[in-house]
Amino acid sequence: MSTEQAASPAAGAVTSTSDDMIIVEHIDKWFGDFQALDDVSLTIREHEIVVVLGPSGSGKSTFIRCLNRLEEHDSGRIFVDGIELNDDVRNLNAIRSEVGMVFQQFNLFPHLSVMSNITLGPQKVRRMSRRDAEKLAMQLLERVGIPEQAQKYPAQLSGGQQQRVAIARALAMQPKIMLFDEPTSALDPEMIKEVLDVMRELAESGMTMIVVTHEMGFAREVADRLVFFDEGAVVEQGTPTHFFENPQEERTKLFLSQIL
Amino acid sequence: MAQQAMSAPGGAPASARVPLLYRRRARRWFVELAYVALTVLAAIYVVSALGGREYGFGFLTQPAAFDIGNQWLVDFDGTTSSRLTIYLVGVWSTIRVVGVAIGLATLVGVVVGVARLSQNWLVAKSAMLFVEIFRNTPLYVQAVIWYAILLFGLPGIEQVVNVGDSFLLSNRGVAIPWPDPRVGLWGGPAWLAGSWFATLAIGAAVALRVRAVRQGQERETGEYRYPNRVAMTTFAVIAGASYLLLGMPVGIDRPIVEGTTYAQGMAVFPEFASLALALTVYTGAYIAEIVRASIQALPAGQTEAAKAIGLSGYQRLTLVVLPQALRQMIPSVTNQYLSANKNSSIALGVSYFDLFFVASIISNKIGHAVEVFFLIIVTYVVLSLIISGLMNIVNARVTLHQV
Repeated sequence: MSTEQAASPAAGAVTSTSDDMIIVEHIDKWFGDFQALDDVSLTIREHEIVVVLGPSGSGKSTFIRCLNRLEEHDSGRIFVDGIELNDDVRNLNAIRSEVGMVFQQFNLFPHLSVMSNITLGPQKVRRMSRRDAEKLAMQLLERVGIPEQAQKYPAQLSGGQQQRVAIARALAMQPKIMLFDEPTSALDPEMIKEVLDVMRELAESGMTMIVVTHEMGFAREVADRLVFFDEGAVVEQGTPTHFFENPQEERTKLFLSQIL
Repeated sequence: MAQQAMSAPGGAPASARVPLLYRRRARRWFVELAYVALTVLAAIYVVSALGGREYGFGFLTQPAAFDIGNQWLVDFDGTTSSRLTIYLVGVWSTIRVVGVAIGLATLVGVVVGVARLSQNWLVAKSAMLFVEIFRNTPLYVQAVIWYAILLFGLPGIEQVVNVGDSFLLSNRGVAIPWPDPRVGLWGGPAWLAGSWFATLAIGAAVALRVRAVRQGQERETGEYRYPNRVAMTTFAVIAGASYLLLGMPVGIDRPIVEGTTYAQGMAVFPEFASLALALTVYTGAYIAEIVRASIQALPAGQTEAAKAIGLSGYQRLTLVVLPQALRQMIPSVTNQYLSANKNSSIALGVSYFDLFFVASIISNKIGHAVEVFFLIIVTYVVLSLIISGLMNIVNARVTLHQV
């Protein structure tokens, strides 16, 4: 079933090459009269770490939320791992189980234990056995550094611990791509580092990652490419060196001067 | 306080004496005195108004001398049974209409409440229309309209709709076949039928256990263990085998028309149906709003996170949204159940013999209005306390795992 799903839309994809993980072609997104995304095109390779920057309201969150269809784009095309994001529900389910997402507000399920938060997806979507799902969950909790919290409930954890559980929950679906939507913006300063450390380790392991963040240190150190959004459009993109030492666009320079 | 202020050292100016009217403690005393005085006066009035008469519940043991329709699973005869018995038949009628209405209203409420939040325009607007119609018209009016529809919309009993001698429909209600204990193959011990019903109960318990075990295995291994299908098969095998072993002690009693009413089988009369229907949609409309509000009160991030791990729409609803919304809504839903219980007292509007209707007849015939209404009030309070007691248990169970 999954090969069929993957194959048929991919046949229509003209630009797909083997190591292009995400292809975004000329997408627009409107909220009523407000244009949130304006003709955005971007291609992201496998194993690439892309950090998305931009002032608030620039469309960067809307952009990554379009990549697993939490928002529907109004025009243009999006391919994830060769599958087109369109009205086909089979494509949607296939993509959502391949794309993990971490939210600014963690969004853990408060009525489930940490363990159940992580095993829910593998058991219900992948139909993994409970034993296997729990084994996987323990491995992931060890990877994010909090195996001792497995039986607690989200409300009993600190913000940084909750966000690490959220990362483990996303990883439990064994995704090919991870999306991070301002993962440290709701955290107290002393907890930001523990989350960034987990993300850094994940990047080193070869995960394809798209990260919306204001953490410039992380961007400079980890990103392969920085993409700067303003008013719903990609203004400038390039390597961290290019970006921090030799930005070309006036708006980029202005933005960097304000936050650095 | 004033004493302390005056004797305070350090040359503070002596406080002026506070007039009685402005002292907080004096004011409290005054209010409390007034309250006690009014209560005593009211008690004196009640005692003097009720005094000089004989009170007692002895009249309840005398024969009722009137008959009521719509009995269900009770063997009641108005000429020989006591007034207490006929009252208890009325109580049983209230319990059964409220029980049916509460169960169905919960179902209607959850479905309509979820439907109101549907992405589908038609579904959402239909649900909204349902809520606005049934929430904004009086229950009594609704019950009378349902009754009229059932009474005048359906054919008379002379033109009864007869589907294979098993399903009869007319303006006297619906009649269906019903199990009937009979003499089986091994002769006639009467307990054989009863022991088959007991076996059914045991079979149901075994089937539920099988289902739970299979569900556990499914969670444990992730493999399909078909808990529902296996459980139902188990029940069918136990029921069928014991039926044959006991010599088929139970037959099927098909309904027939006898004069202007149904005989044999099981009949649901339009009086019961119209009241149950009215209570169901009226209470259901309120519960739908509670369900909608509880779901909307959840942060949008919960649904988004559930989408992001690939859960289907149904899984998002049953695994993430409803388990959280349910906890929010239990106190409000309990209120609706209590309302449905008390609202059932409009039964006499559709000639349904609930406890209030029966008690009113008793009071009309024999008097004793004080005792009868005391009995009515106590009965409703007891029924309400039972409902809220049960709901407290439910509430305790669902909040057990919440932190």
